[in-house]
Amino acid sequence: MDEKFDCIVVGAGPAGSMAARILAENGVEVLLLEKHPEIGVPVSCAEAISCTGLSQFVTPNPEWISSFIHHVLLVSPSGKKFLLHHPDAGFVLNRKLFEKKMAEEASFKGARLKVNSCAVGLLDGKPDGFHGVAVLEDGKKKEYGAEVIIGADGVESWVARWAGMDSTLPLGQIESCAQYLVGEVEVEPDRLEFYLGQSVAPGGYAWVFPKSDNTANVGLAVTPDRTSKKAKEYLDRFVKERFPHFKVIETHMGGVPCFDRKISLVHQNVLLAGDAGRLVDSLSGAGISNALRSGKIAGEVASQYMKKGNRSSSYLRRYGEQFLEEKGRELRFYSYCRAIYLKMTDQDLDDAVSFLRDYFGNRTVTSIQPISLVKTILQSNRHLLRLLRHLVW
Amino acid sequence: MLQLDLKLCGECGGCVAVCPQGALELYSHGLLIKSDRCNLCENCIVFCPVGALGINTVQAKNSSLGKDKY
Repeated sequence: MDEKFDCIVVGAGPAGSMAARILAENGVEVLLLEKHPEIGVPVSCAEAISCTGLSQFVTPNPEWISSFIHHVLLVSPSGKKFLLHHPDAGFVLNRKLFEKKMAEEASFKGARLKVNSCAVGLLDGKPDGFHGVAVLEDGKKKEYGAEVIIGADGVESWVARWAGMDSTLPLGQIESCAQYLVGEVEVEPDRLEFYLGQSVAPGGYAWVFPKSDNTANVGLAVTPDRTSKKAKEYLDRFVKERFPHFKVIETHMGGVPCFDRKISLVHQNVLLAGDAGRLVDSLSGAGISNALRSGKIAGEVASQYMKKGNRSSSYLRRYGEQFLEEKGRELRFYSYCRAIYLKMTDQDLDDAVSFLRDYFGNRTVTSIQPISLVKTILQSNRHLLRLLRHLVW
Repeated sequence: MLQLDLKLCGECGGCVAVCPQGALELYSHGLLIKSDRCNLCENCIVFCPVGALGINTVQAKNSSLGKDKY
């Protein structure tokens, strides 16, 4: 064993850095591992987050916010538009800077951060769990001991596999995403745009999220088992249709997991946070806010576990229980919504957008209850109500 | 055999998540294919947003060419 820590966090994304910061603040010896040589790179994210989703965990800082969003545009398959006005709808982040700042803060509070350090396995040998992590650090094999291991290693989570959790995602439970950061385009710097329809993005949607008044993240997500074409092929077509002139600055790809109510977030002394735990809103694919929340709760529970000397692995299960108590209902609701969304025809989507336009008119909205809004949309359409009855709630 | 086009791969990790065999791993320097574990189920190929993964059919083609010859 090269060195011993109380806790090891694998992955310095929003979930991992948040967990490491909380642990360090509580005086826990924590090692934060990042496999890439640079934090925040490569980007696999559309970078948008709601105002409340961010500010309950981190104070918004213009340093890592690219744009402030006040309007949301929804475009139906036949081109019907609905524009929502909301003074504090959310932000488009600069994820590269945001992640760096989060990791810096964890490090500033006392977490040991190692970049270019790839976890390659968990160390067996404890009757009730794992006693550390094997790491390839700058190409050299090292072994670090830990009482608790937090897997915040994203959608591919090998930590979950090593711990013996069945984490393979079926093709219908993951979104295949492609995105360009485009320049030299004309966009509204405070407006998110969403484009729906089978021909635009089967089983998903396309987005235009402004990064400034002439740059934007333009991307789309498709459900891979619904199309034989690649997300990038749909994107190439969409971007040409949306912008007469553009320049590709960066290319991003991603896999967005869908929430699975059966997944367990805790196994022995291993906790899963963020995308590794599939903690994503399955309808929109939003994951940053849940990553921050899960990182925070995982950090708090692991800190208590270390402090109290309350070393039974059943104590760690509180992490999963607390997270699901706060967000389980919402995440389950959004996975039902996704199931309905996947069954909606282009005509249903047209009707839903028209309904929203009539429902909201031109008024400015100051707060939105997504669950009640989605329920209202579903109730507005007989076909959707029929679909609903076919799904087991 | 499963093959990766390094020029296209964006190292997003989605293929790793859909692999039931644990045949793919994403390291600091890119994606690693463990061919001995791969059972050619093609989940990763179907998932990949850019078409960076594919089955190398060069060998198969060669062998059929061989058959034609003789």
